[in-house]
Amino acid sequence: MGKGAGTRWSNIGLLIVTVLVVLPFVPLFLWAFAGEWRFPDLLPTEWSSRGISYLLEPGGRVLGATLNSLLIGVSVALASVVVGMPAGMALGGYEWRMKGAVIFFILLPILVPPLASTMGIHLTFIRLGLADTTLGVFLVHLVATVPYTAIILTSIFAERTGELEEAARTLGAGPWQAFRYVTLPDVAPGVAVAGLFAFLISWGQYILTVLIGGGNVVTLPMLLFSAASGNDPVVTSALAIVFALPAVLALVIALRYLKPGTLDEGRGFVGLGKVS
Amino acid sequence: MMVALAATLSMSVAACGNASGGADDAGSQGEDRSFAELETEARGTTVNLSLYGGDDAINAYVDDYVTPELKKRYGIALERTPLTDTADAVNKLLNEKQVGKGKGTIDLVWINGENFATGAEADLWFGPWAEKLPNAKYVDWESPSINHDFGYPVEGREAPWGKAQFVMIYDSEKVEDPPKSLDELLDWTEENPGHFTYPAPPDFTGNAFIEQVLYGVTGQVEPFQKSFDEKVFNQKSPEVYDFLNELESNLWREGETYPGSQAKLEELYQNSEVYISMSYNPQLAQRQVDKGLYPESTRTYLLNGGTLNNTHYLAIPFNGPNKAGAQVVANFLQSPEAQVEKQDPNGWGDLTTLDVDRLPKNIQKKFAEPEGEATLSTRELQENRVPEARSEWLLELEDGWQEKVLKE
Amino acid sequence: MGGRIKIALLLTPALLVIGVLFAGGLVSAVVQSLGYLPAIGQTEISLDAYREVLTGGDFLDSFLLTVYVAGASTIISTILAVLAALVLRRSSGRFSAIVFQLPITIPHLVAAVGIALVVSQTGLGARLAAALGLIGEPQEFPALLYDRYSVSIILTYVWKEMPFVTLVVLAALQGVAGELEDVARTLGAGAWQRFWYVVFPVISPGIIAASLIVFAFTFGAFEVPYLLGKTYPTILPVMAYNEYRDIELTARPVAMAINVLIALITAVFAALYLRLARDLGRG
Repeated sequence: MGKGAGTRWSNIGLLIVTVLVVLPFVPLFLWAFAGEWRFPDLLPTEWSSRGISYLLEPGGRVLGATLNSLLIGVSVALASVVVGMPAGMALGGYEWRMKGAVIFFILLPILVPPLASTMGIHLTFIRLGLADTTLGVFLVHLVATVPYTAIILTSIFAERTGELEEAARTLGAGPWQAFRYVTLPDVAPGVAVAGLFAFLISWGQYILTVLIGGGNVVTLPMLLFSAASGNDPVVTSALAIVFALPAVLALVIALRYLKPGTLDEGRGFVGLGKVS
Repeated sequence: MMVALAATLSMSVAACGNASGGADDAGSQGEDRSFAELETEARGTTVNLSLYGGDDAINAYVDDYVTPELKKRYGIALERTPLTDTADAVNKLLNEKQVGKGKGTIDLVWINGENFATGAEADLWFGPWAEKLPNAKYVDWESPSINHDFGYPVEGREAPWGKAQFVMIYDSEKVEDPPKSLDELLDWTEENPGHFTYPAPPDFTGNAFIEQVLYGVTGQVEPFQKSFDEKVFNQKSPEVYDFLNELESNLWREGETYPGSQAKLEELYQNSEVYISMSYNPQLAQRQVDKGLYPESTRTYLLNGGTLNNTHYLAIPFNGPNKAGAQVVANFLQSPEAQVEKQDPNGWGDLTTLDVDRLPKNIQKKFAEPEGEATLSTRELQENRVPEARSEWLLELEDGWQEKVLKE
Repeated sequence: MGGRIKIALLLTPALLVIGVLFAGGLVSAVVQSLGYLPAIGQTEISLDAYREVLTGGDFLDSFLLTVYVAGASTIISTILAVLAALVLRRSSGRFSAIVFQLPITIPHLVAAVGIALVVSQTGLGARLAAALGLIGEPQEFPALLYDRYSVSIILTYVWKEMPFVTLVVLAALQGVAGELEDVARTLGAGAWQRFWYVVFPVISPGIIAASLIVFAFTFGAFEVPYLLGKTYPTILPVMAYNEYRDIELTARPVAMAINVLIALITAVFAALYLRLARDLGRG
């Protein structure tokens, strides 16, 4: 196979994948602006702004739920990075005996569904007054995000050799200064990726919020799920598009401002091999 | 080591569940303040109303009419909490009662039937209070359809809000002669496979359908008004399941799956995937036709032998943080003006629970008589009513449906 | 000296979060699954819940369905991902980076809703079929939603996970595999030989690792099947949740027992993954 043919297959393959990736969004956009769209019409026979009005309704639920989701998402992102970074430093930068066990422990919530542990802890939360509160929801979101930030940051720290810090120390910098002025800026892109990841995970949470929030803490995915279980595709699609926006935004930010290589979470996982 | 410590800590907290009994026995003491006192106490407070959130018309009634009126008249801020299923609220209260949580988050919950009965058995409802409301004078508390909720004694623990009646809906262009009896239904589905189905119990409307089948195949209503009798149940229920199993192969998707909720069934009807539907709201069809969601050829009808009718209520949980506010809200919702607005077919269209004869003549006239081709007259509805069975029968029936029909 | 203490301190926040909230929750689930519910007066410990769960037919039905959904999603995602990685490794530019990373960031619920609107009997696919004259009524279009083969659920998982696996495979391909392949080509090996004897053995650990993650994740995932699944049987996490929501509190231990079983099964996969990753590091 010559290079030309190889590239042609490449481009066809890319085209197919692109179409398949974009496909689910087509009906979403059509329904969001649809007025009347009966089967078997291929396109809506009437267009309408009902979907958009629903989103922007002053005093409506969407604004409040979106703000809630944002608030929780950002706090969870910050907290899980703050928690995950020292763990990443320990796991990535040092070797010690129980390391494998600790990695296994921290990795567990990625593969063992947090729903199981959250159902278990629900009663305790009610007793402690954490149920029906944003704080309670924040805490269970942390369970879902900390493993990811820890693992990503482990990979980041594993790739560093500590040369920069050594150099700073020989120049007279104290350990905190070395950390603040040398380490942090160097790992900042990786930290940002971890934070973005944590935000997206929190943003997408549904059942954990329903369980602990008890209907009192309303987030955007709850509105979407409720609409999707109903019979109004216009509202459902409008909500779905709004719900997807931060994800797209996060991707754009990551690709523009962060090194493309660092977004390779695939490498992050495979790179675990280097860590243990 | 740290992990073991943390785990032991949480285990002991979890295990620290002492029996809650003593938490808030005020639940069974009832309300003894005067209504004027309640009004004063409620002014400036917030009341959380938890109700099923899947019907936009109901949500609009609460958000666009009730909320501003409450603010204007009583200075109360109403917060509507949508529920996917009222059973979720009951479950939440059960959890809270278990751990002894004295101050919950729900002030008033829209409820009836099994949910009320289960809650009452677990002592979840505050009361009695409902018969003391000023507007209770317009309610016929002597009537068994008011003072008993699906056969369970109310004892003033919930205030009636409206009435529901089970109706069938069909598209007259696709269905010439709608099936009015169970045998006719069987025949019709054989001739028109895939165009009928019902929501899976324990959806409220799904429950109603299998209850109608119970009355229909046994030809009886009386036995199910009495206390649950296992022998009778084991005798009669197989007929119900046999019928539903016979029906199954001609249902939508051949009965391999059922619409998960009333909303999903309505979607199927909207898309003309099924030609016959059902609802507890006799005004639903007309409302949806007016909105352009249902075809204009939609009609409503009743099954032979009478259809289920019930009252739905508002209850106050044992740990409701604002019981005064809740009672003021309940009283307003029971007021003639609010009931007139509720029955407006352009909005919700829910039938009033008030005894119209007790109201002043000028107000009586305001209650809209259903209009339109797709709905039924009040008289027709009233003449064809049967009471709901007691909750215990229904719970067993639903469990049986899961085992004997759903799982084949 | 201070080294070990330093490590312990660094690890404390993460271990606390996971220890208390996650492990604590699981321990609590185990306790409740053994029937210990003091608040309703049940203080006897027994394995009744497990007996009921494991001998009842429901658990088996749900378990098999869950294995099927997770397995099919994993296998399909992996095969497509390997194909995609092989085809696309020459054009990994900016555009393909976007296309492949988009599904990773889009929430599962959005994907589920969008795909449902495409494959439902009145969805985009059905309307296209109607336009082409292939079908007349919605029910003539194959049932891909709420269906026995969980097609829409698997499609959603494949849409979401295949790009992830592709990235993993691409990363592996761009490493040692590339160089080895060039050597093989110089030695005269054909395309298939190169793939089977050189490339595949090198990338397979990475593929297996990614597959394990996808399987474990789809095994324990809740949202998509809850929205798109049929009434019965449901997958295990949904079954656990339905039991949990039961008004009869006696169903609580059963719900917890199912949770514990799910946790055990997925933990096994976590262990397998780690073993594999460790070998990867050594190789």
